[in-house]
Parts: sequence; C-alpha cells; structure tokens
Amino acid sequence: MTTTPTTEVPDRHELDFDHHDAEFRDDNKTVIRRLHATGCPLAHSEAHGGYWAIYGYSAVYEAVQDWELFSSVHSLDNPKGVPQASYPTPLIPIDVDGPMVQEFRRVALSWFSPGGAKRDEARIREICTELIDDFIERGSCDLSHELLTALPARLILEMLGWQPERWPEWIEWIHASIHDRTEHPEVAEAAVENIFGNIIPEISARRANLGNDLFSDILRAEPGGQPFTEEQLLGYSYLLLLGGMDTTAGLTGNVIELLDGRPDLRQQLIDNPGLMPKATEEFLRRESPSYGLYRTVTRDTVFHGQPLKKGDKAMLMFPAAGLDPVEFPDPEGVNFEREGNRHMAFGLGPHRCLGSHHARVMFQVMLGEILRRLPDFRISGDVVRFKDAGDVYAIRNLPITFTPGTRSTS
Amino acid sequence: MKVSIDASRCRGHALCVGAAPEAFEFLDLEDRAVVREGAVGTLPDDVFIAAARECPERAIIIEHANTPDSPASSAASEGH
Repeated sequence: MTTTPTTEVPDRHELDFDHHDAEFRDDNKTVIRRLHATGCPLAHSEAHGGYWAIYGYSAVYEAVQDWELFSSVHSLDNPKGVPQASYPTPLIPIDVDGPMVQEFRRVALSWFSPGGAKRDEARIREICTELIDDFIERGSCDLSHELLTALPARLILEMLGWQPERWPEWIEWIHASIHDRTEHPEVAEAAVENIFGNIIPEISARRANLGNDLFSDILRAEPGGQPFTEEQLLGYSYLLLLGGMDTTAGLTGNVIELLDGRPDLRQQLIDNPGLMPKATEEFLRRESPSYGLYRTVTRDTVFHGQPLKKGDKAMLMFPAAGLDPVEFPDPEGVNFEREGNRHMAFGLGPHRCLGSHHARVMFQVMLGEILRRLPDFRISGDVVRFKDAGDVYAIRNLPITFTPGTRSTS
Repeated sequence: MKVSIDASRCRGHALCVGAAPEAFEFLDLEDRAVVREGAVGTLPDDVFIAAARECPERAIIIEHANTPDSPASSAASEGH
C-alpha cells in the first residue's frame, strides 16, 4: 500500500486543470496525455474550491478499493462532487458506503444482471429498428438525438413501466441536471426539481397498482429490512434515469465520431462482426464518457506521495486511467485484439456501474445496426458537444448523411 | 493448477464469462462469477490465465501446483 501515516507533509502536486472547461471538452485526450506526462498519478487543482484529480491507473484502482478513505457518502452536511452536487438527497446507491450498497443494488439485480440484459436484447433490437426506420429513408439524421439518446431513454422508461413516449422531456431535464450544473447551477436545480416532481406521481400511481416492472420491484423491496422512504425512492429513480439516459448515448456518439475518421476500423467491424465483443471493451477503454465520479477524503494521509486532508474532494477519472501508458501500451491506439484490457469505464469496486451489462448490449446493438443499415454514414455538419463535458463527455448533436435505405417494418 | 474467484473482490463485471464462458459462469442474483465445476483440468490452463488478465478487479486467483515439473507460478501472479 502507498497510503502511510506520516508527520512530514510533502508538497502538493498542483496543476492548472479544470475538467469542466472548454479545453477539456474540445480535446480531452490532449489534456489527459498531459496529466499522465507529469509522472504523478494524481494532482491538485484550485478550480471549484479545490479538488484532487486521480487519473493514474494504479492510484484509481487503490482509491476505489479503499472506500473507507475515499468515501462515496453525499449528504447536505457533507456534500460531494466538484463542484459540489446540487441535489439535496443522496442518490442511492452511489452516494452510500459500506454493506448497504449491495443491499440497495440487490433490489434491481435481476433486471440489470447479465441474464437480464440478455433477456432485454430482443426488445433493444426492436426499439433500434423502429428508430432507424424513422430516418433511414431520409438519408440524413441527427444520430445523437434520433437514435443514440432515444434508445437508452426509451428502454429505461419501459423497464420502469413509465410512459416511454415522454423520453424527450426526461432527457431535457437529465441533460440539464448534468451539463448545466457547473455554469448554470440554477438551471440544473430546476431540472432536478422537475425530475423529482415527475417521479412523485409515478410513485403514487404505481403503489396503487403494482405490476411486473422494475419500478414495482423497487416499491416492494425492503433493502436491509425496510422499504425505501420517499426521499430514497426519488434518489434511486433519478439515478436509474441518469445512468440509463446519458452515458450509453455518450459512449456510442464518441465511437461514431471516431469511426468517421477511421474508415479502416469501420471496415474491420463490417467485415468481421465477431470482433464486436473485444472491440466493445476497447471502445469502452478509449471513449468512455463517464468522468464525474467523486469521493470525499475521510482522514489526513499521504496517498501516492500526495498529502490528502480530511474533507478534500477527489475525482476518480476512470476514463483517464484507461489512457494511462503505464497500464496500456499505445493507449490512444485502437486495437481490437488488445489483451489484458482491464479498463475502468464502468468504475470498479462496490459501485461498479449497475447498468454495465445493458450498456454493452445497447452499444453493440446500436453500433451493429448502424454498420449494417447505414454502412456509409458520414458526419455531415458540426458535431456539437455538450458545453460542459466534465461529468459526461458526450455529443449533443451528431449530424450524419448516408445512402437512404428502406424501412424494416411498416 | 487451482483456479478460484475471490468473492470479496469480484464485482460482477462478467468479463471472465465473456472471455471464457466454458470456464466461468455468472450468478445473476449474487452479482458475481464462479469457476465452472470440472472446468479446471478439463480446459487448457491458458484459458483461465487469459481470462484472469481481463478481470479489472483482479479477483481471479490462479495457483500452480508446487511440483518440480509444473511451470513457475509467475503467470499466476500476473493474474492478481
């Protein structure tokens, strides 16, 4: 272990760095390359009141396993996040430590297990087919909005048993709650209020009429022997929407942009669809959008030579760890045959992304169908990224053109 | 060779099952993978060693029998 109590306090490795700024949004790889080139696996930034960015592979690995030092707890008294999260109540289970994490996860495990994702694959493919049918005759679309964002959003609403056609409203609030929270916190707070305000009627409606859906299972559950409080239900539901609606779209958009500039890779996947499972892991390693995972330091200590103080904010940059040249030779290269690809796109440890198995299936279905039905797609206009890419590094508008095709269904 | 999965480290990524479904199986409701019964000794050792290298939690433990004829345990230590 590199965590040692000490009486000598070393100097901090200070860097001029802000993951919420335009430089990171426009070219995150260059920024990350610079972080790794320092040779130190973490750095302190004065932005947003001060925080640690942990990006070295080994340091992230150790930090995530040591949840007693790097706490996930978020509360009004002890808020986490950089800048600090604006929502009032903890999101269960990501803002919780200890054995209750798994109790809370267990509530939804049968839905989000590998078996659950496999059961949903046919439905995911159906939604994908419908969405592509809606634009394939046109020969152009905003791929981000019309497919990559729409599919995961519709799926999670269907799983919850909520109205899937309301996905554009939910998406607007979810996007605002993430991407506006640093520059326009009042917009993000209003969005979170809208989200909570729209979850409340879903709770009362479903309580009166329990069924065979994910949300009914949540309402029936008694994690740790007690049913969820209303506040916990709001946090749990918000987290399911958040996880479902932004990150898979972000990953897939980043990969489509990559493939637009790399026809050789696109051709490899078209010629050999059997590459898809390993390619998925390589894309996850290189193009994961999920940066904004935070912890709070619980005691003074020295970690990888750096002096941490109780109460310090820390950001675990999982996607940056995936680009660490110490762990991954040629980290920015794309190698579908890469072995020992222990990327951290879904996080590690007790908070491993609960939706990771669904994310993989949705990604593979969407990319597979794009390559099958729109094989000659080209980016045809300005790719618009979310202005703040510090938490989720994703594309808002991805205009493409392609040879028009025919609908699969009537 | 002995292969096991440390249940306290496995976090249900299921990458071992993806890499070698004949060697590992996933317990959906326990959020973790286990070594398939009878797989060790039936399948080539390399199958397990390669899968261990894909586990981001380093939860797959490979122990080589400590006999003069067996390969050194260096490959095993790479696994965790």
